[in-house]
Amino acid sequence: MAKTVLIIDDSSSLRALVKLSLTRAGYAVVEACDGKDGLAQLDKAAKVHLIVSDVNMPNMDGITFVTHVKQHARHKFIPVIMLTTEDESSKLAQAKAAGARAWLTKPFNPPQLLDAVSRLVLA
Amino acid sequence: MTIHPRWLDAALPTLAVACAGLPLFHRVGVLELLAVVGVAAASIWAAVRRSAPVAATSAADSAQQAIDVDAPQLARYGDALPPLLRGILPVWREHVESVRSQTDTAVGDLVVDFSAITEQFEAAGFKGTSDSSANGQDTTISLLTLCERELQPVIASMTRITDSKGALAASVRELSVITGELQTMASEVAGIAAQTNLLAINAAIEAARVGEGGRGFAVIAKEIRSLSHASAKTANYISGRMTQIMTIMKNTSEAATNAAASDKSAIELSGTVVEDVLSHVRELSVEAQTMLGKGNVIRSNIESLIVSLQFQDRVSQVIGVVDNDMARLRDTIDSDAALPSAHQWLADLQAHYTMKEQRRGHGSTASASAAESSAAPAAAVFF
Repeated sequence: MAKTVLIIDDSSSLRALVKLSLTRAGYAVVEACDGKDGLAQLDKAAKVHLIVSDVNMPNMDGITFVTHVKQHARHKFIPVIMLTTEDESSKLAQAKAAGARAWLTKPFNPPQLLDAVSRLVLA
Repeated sequence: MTIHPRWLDAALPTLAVACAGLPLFHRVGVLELLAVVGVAAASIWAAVRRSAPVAATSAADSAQQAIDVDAPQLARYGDALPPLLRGILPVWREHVESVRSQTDTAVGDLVVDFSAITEQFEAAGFKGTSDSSANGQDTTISLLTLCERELQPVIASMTRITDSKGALAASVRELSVITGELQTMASEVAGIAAQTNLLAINAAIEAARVGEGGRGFAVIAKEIRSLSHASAKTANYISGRMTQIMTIMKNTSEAATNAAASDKSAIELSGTVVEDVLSHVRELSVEAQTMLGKGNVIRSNIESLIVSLQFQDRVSQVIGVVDNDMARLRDTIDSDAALPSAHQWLADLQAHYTMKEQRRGHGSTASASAAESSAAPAAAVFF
């Protein structure tokens, strides 16, 4: 059965590109447009194996989202990859402290993303 | 509220640089709209600059230098600028939002169409290799190699069968020769029996001539004749059976020879068919390898395209910051509060940057070069 990845990004075109990369590799995909929507999708989805989240988003940013996820009894073990244009090292440190498992900067290369996804899904 | 031109002297170049630099992310027509906004910002800035020429080299530098300019010379713009900006800023923001929305939708549609084309290519067999996904072509090539490996021994096996059939026919022929020899021996036994019978007759005649003394010898001669008759009869029986066996052997030999010839012909035909199949398998294998190579090229192109299409996300980040800053300017004008210094404004603006190209654009009035603007994928950092 295909593993499910939740993609959170306020850019629909970026979500489409991540979705294209993941579905070609056999993953199922659920989409959310910001952190708040991401939490709602997590509650709705039957099983999410991994989350790929942007950092800078309206309503709820990616780091706040990760903090919420890690406090949630059911979702706290889901690995999170931050996928962002943000290049501030302080943000990277914040994401790490919040509980994210990997940091990947945009533009992403599909093989790199798939490598990170498969490593964390199998971990 | 009065907006001092020197404050705009710092803000407008930044806006113009940001807008003018955006099309460099990618050559997309809709970004020209934004360039128009950039040109407008640059025009306003030029008008301000004509009134108070300052030799600025960067937005930050121009802010510092603008502070040193003699303000009264520019004051005449102060009362006119707030209503001008109140009118212009919503229009600019409308254009900016239009650009962002159009590019996002267009790239999204492009990705969907592109995804459909990719699926068609993959359905047609052009699927490259990937570490992270199962690949049909690898399986196909493995199966074709397996076919070739397993079909090769079939021909050798068929040849061995033909050879063993020939050996069988030869053995039957040898057996037939031996049977012929046995028949000859049976005929010789019959001849010996005839000679023995003749001897017995002569013995009986001689015994009769002797009279009473030869009576015992006559009995022996009679028994020898009886034995010779029995030998002749057995020899004839053996000869008859040998003739039957020879006939059967001859038929068997002919059948074996015919079967061997027929089998040889069939096996040769099968061998030819197997060779043909092998030839097709090899051709298919070569074609599968070619398709795999082309699939890899397509996969590589797809990956490059996915990287390139992410320009929209970066453009959106830049536009978003510019849009938010225009909103901040409008809110500040509407609130009638005192404007912060140009330095403070630019510092606040800079705090919202997330990318190197934004910082480069902030630090220089010259447009960021295309090379500088195109960010390259970086390795993932694992925690």
